[in-house]
Amino acid sequence: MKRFPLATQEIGSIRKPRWLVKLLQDKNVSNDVKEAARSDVALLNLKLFEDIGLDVIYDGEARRVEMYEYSIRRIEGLQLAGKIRSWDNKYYNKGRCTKKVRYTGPYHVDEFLFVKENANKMIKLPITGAYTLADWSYNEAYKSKEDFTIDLAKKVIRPLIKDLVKTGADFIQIDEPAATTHPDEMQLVVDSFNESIKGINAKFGIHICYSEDYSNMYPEVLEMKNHQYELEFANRDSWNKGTSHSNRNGYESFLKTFKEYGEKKEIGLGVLDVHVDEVESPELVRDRLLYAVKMTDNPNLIHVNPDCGLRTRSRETSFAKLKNMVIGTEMAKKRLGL
Amino acid sequence: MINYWSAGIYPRNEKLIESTRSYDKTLEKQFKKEKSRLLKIQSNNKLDYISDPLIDWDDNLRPFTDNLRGIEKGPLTRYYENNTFYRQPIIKSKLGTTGNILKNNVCFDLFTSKSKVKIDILDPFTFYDLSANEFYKSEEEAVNAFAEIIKKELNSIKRNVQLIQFNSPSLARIEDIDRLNMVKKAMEKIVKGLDTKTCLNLWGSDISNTLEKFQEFPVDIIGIDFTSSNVDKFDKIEMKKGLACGLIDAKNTKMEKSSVIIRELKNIKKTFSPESLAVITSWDFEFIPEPFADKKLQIMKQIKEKSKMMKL
Repeated sequence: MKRFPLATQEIGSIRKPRWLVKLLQDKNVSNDVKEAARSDVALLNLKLFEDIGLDVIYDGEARRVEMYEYSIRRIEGLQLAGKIRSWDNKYYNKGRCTKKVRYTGPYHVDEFLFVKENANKMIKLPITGAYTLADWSYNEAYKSKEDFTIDLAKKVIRPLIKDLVKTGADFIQIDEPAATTHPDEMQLVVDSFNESIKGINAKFGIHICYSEDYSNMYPEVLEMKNHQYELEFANRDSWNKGTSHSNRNGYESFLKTFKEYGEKKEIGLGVLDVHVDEVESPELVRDRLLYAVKMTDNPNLIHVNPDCGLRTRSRETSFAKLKNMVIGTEMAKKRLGL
Repeated sequence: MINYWSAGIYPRNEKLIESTRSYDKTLEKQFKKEKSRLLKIQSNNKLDYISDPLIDWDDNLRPFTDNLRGIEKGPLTRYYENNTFYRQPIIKSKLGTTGNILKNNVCFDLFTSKSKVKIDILDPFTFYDLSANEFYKSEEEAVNAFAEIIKKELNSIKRNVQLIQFNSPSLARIEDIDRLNMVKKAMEKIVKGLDTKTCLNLWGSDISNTLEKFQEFPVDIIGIDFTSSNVDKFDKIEMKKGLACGLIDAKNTKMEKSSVIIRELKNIKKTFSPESLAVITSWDFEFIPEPFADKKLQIMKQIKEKSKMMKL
């Protein structure tokens, strides 16, 4: 796949409009009408992303309840147990594995075909990875977490990816927000990723967020057959402008390690904090990018994205942040003569 | 006789979750009503110590993060290896407290006069470890500052409490003897003059290499998380303290079998010969949904009845 420097992209979810949430909750509205409404929002998101000027897009996960629950509901052997706190008053529906898992047919294919038909930009399709599905679920069926995770990779995620690639997906982002939760399980993260994509020809990214220190992924992650990392950084970075180490303290540790290991994979650099309403200025985005380019010596390796899905922010805030991300990227490109 | 109690934050039920999300005006009343219900459930399931289910706490540190002088709220940060995040306290200047944080954030008005009350609080090292220190010059200085805060807080409520449980997941990870000695000294300052039974609950790590050192800590009971520490890894010892056994897995929906737990208890008794024995949850119950937590409390009651019959 063609590489181009500082390509801007979304990570995944955008908050659904209030009217859609209301309509989806209305028991008197038929499923056909609900599906049509979801399509309207998917199309709206695509066109808004294109208008803002993102280079790589998807539909803001307009058809998914949530990245984890959506998958749990579609995998045999898993069922929902109930709600668990993510933080403060935010909860997610946690699954439990009560028998060996089995793939019962493709999910995400219809939404991908819709995006493919309507998008005028490059497409990156996000799916939830085996390790996160296992880590976030209660294991009542397998002897070990390793057995559970690898079974999910081989028997569910790999056939799913095969089906998606068959329909034309050529850039898939495997979401593994749990990847760095247990530093001593990094080999399992790598093994399950590699098992998931074994024998499949496409570009693969891995999205990881809210790690204590991404440097802990090394050296195991060198064996991972991904082409891109999409990582959260802005949440831990200062809001000061500038490209010094002290101003860019959120990026320094990982980028140093990345360089030390001679990595040639792309980094989707998180430049927007998705947990605050303050909108990053274009100059701040620019400086974060210039710093990453300075540290890696290669603008082709740097792609630009928010830290994570923006669904916890209002749509207005999300689009304002993305707009500044694109403007800031243009400023960085100009400064670099790209 | 074996004692029973649960630890930390209890899960919110579905209705309460919805109410917190919609900022329902009756939320405070709902919390109070639900707390009363959960206290009753603890009593009905024959727990020996009853504790505030803390369902109105956004995380284990939040009342302190919100109310301590010298602290600013930091970023959302992963709470150990869980898919749960807390707001990290950032120490910006000298720590201080009015001493009323626990008083104002624990439901002392809801306990019955018959209840033996247990209070949960983090130990000073865990407080320090979960914070970002931008003020104190050393780890020791910061740990001692938290120890002073904890002491002041506990002194203001100790008359209403029969058991103080220090929840210590960060401390449980330490193996360095000098650091353990430093925390031990800080704990000595906290418990001096406290005159209340104390438990140091070492959550989430295998402490088979450090148990001997923890025995020197100035507490009455050591809590071991047996979902993380395998009994067989410990050498046979004569414990000089009580032992609280985290045998009820608060992080998995799989239900314990009372017969298996009783077998484990016999094994534990043989290995540790503790002064007293208790069965507790391995972590906060908030890591499993409310109906599963309820069932696990019922299982604790079954274990209690069976172990009584067997005169364990």
